[in-house]
Amino acid sequence: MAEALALEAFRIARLLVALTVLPFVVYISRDVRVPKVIMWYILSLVAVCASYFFAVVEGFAATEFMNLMQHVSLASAGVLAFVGAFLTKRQVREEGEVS
Amino acid sequence: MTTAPTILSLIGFVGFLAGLVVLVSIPASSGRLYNRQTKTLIIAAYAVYVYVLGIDMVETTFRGTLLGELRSLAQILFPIFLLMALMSGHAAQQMLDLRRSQTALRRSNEFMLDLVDSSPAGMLFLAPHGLIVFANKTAREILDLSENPDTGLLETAGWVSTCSCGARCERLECLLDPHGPGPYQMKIEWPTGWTIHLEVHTEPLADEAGNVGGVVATFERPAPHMVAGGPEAV
Repeated sequence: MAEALALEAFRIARLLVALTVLPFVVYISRDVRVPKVIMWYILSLVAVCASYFFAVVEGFAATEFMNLMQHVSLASAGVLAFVGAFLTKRQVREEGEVS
Repeated sequence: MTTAPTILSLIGFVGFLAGLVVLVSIPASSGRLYNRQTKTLIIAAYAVYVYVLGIDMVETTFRGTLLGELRSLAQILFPIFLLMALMSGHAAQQMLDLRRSQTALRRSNEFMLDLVDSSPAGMLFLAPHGLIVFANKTAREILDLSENPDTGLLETAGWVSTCSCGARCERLECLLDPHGPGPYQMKIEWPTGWTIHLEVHTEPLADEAGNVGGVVATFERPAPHMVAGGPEAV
């Protein structure tokens, strides 16, 4: 029981850290000149935050479904992260061609 | 047995791993958004999830081990690394902007200086204390001005100027005080006896509060009949 509570507390803390970081990421990204690239990283982070959220809810209700949703979020985060990396490569290549 | 969460973990793992490979393959260059710091931090963020989802797929093997327990802790690092990477890119972008604006400013300054230097009219700037702070190429030639290498100030060759109002000064100080309508007729006399006559137009430079910061003086190259005396050529 104590172990489950500790795990839940950790999951909540993890979610809080991610939710604290997210506004800063969004705020800074407004000033960065490659918004279309940054957007994919932010979406990936949002998907990770969602997985943290589902992990927290998993401890209270609909365990199976929330676990599945957590994994769906992480799979989406992976795909979005790949798109972000791919667009970064393209952006750097275009910058190189321009200069 | 392969379950839906395992397949989903595999998709995420492949996504992050492929992203990691792509990011590693991008060359980082200093002075760009994707510099070495940004690259390191973003790769670290991706590596966190490659590790987390990799462990996730074979959870049973690592359950209860240190690697398995670290999996949850490592996840905290992803948003932090991502934020740091973004901050690094943002800082690089600001540095890049600053460098570009400095270059543009320097070029504009050089262009203006070239423009003033190539003018056929002599042009100089007198500071309120009477020192000649700036003179274009033509003014340097006409007035025989040379730059003191120690102070960087422009020095005369010992000539004395006499204004049409009768005032005599060692530089052109009388131009600082408006005395009657311009242009002023100035006689410049070298110790060797060389004399030139100049028609000088002045324009005081003042700030918004009206404080005069100096005077811009312009004059044309003297005509041959306005030059008399010594051996110097104008």
